[in-house]
Amino acid sequence: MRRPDALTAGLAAATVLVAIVDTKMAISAGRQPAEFYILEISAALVWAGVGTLAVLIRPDRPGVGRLMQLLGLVLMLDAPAGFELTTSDRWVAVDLVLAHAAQPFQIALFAHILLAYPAGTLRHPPERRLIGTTYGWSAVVGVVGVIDTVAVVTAPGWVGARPPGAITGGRPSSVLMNSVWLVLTAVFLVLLVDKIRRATRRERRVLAYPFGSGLLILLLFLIVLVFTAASANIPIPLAYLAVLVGPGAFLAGLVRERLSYGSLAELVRTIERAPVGQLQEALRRALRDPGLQVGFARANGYVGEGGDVLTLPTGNGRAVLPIGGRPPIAVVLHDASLTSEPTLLNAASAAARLALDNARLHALVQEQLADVRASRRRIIEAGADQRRRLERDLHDGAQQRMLAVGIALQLLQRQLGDEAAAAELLTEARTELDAALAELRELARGIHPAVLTEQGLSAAVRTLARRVPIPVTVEDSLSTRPAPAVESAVYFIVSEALNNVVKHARATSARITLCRNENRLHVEVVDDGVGGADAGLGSGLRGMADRAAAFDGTVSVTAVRPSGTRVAVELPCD
Amino acid sequence: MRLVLVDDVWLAREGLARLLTAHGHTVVGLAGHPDEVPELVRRTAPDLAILDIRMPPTFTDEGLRLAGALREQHADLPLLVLSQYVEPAYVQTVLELTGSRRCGYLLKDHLLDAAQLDAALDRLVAGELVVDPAVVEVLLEDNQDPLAVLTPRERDVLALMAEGLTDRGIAERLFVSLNTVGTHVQRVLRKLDIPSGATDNRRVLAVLTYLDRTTPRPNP
Repeated sequence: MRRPDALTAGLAAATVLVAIVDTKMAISAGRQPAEFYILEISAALVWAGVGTLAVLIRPDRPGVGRLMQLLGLVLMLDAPAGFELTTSDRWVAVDLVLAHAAQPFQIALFAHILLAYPAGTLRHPPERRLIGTTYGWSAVVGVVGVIDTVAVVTAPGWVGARPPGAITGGRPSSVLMNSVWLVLTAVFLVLLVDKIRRATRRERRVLAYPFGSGLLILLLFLIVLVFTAASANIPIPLAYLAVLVGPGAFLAGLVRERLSYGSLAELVRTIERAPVGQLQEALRRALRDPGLQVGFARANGYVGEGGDVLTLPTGNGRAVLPIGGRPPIAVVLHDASLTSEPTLLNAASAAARLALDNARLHALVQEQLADVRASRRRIIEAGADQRRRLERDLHDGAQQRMLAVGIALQLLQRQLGDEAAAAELLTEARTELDAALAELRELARGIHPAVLTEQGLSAAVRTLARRVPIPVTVEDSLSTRPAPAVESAVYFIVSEALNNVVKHARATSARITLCRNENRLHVEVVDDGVGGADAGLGSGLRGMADRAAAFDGTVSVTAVRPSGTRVAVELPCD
Repeated sequence: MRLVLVDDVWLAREGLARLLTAHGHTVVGLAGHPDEVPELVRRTAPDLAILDIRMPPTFTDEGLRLAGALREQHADLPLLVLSQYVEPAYVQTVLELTGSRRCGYLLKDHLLDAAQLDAALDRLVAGELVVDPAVVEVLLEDNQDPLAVLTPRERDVLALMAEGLTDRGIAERLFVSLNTVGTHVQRVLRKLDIPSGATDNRRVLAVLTYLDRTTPRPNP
């Protein structure tokens, strides 16, 4: 709600002012029971009040509220025309003239409200023509009423009796007048039915409030009339109910239709945060349009959230809102009535665009991330594969050839027998060859230990542990071998960790743990050294983390109390 | 003696065959694939079979498994497994698969040492175990702390026990009397708390197991 503007406040104040005048008149000169006046005045007050409320609640669409305010004021002005007063006060006479001038306009206003509801404007030329004519006719009737009333109140001996009435008449001219009213009413009903028929789903839900409650009231009146045999007065409680329910229903409809501009930011947030699969639902809720559909641009048209192909409607109460650029990345098929709320549609469209962009970027990043992960893994696997192949090549090639040389040397040695000088050279050659074979063996083992390929991670880690100059215990509960690539990765991580222990930790002992928990492989290397390792420092630790990450695993380096370092590796394996 | 030689690499196979022939042995059968071997052994009934570890089809530990298969069919056939790896885990496997009987694990390049080759073959045929000294050296290095209780002489005796030598073999290698060796052996076993009842082959296994205890086998 907002602070009322001058027009709204002025109309409300005028109505209250007139209500005070009416009340004073009723108290001083009324012949009817008090309930009669209270009902008359409160009916006008309710219309004015509800109208004011409607303007305040829907500052975006003040039309209907303003009309209701006016209706309230007119009802208040013309109320004295039916007051049955006993007075000869000249001011009352003036007031009565005014009342009869205003009286016909209540019909025009009511028709106007019904046809303009809920947008507040008359959208179709026939409606505009009818309402224009009705106002014009009301003016004519008003003038006649003024003339008649002036004649009555200026007649000698007037004591407040009602004028012979242009409306209730008895004169020939009143037949003509009633005929015009009838024609206007008929046209009005036709247009009203047409309006309901043309209304979109969303609009009908709003129209249902006043029309539904109107029908209900009518039904109640009929029942009461049947039971009280027509002659009796309408029971007071029912009358009050009717007075309240009528304008109340209009207001309820307007509130229901209200798309919360106050919480536009909230709306944008909701839509913006909606996952792509729920964007349609978020928009439906935000725009109060249960038939709304979202279509995503594809090469050959638009598809809905469920993958169904959407045909873009033309007319039929549906409208298309393109989202994002040209061509649009998506379209929203919404109720045509929403086009009268451009601010809201723009906001929703912007929010939807954000949501779609977010989703698209998210998907893009995910896709790229998956690519990078896969390629990193391929690189690591290819590296391990190459190491294996290189080791095999050394084993089957260079090592065998050197062995063959050794054999040849030995055979030569046997043949040469006792030739001392030659034998000495041969021995020298043999010594060199032995050293070369030993070095080659070490080289091959460093590239990719055969025991890892052939006997698996457990055996290879035990071999690693054995080669460390400090005592290393191995706790191993692996019963099956992980995939070769995983074995390779873990082996080189453990190798690097032990390398760090020996080089930097000044440890006196270390422990390696290998175990599997469900589908996770856990490996720990714990030493009792000086600690100080940091995963962010050193290419060795970085390399360990990279190897683990290539298999979606992690490496954590933590300090152990009282002293030492724990390198914990965890990676998935099946 | 009559030998069967199994190695998938032609160069090594032919070279070793020539070497063995030069050492006065008869190579009665050559094979390049483990599948050919059982039939070959059955047909030629050799005194000893020499097997490479890494062979087709998977190039991992076919030689080890072949040793196990041959042991099942020929309880007394001496088997020498050749390897390029100084790897105690392989030694353990060989001993397990052959029931710790008449088997050996030797680095290929140690065949180039004529004396070592002859000694290994003779000891295998005589029913002893043969473990490559390089592997034993790795195990000893790995156990420096617990072995600190031994004198250098006792350490030498332990190494030779681990290599599979009998008391007599140790005596010959160290140029000492059989009695002296016996005393050393008993002292080593007592100091290391190794059951002394075991003799010869089972003693080798006990010593190897002792030396390998820092690296327990996988839990079942």
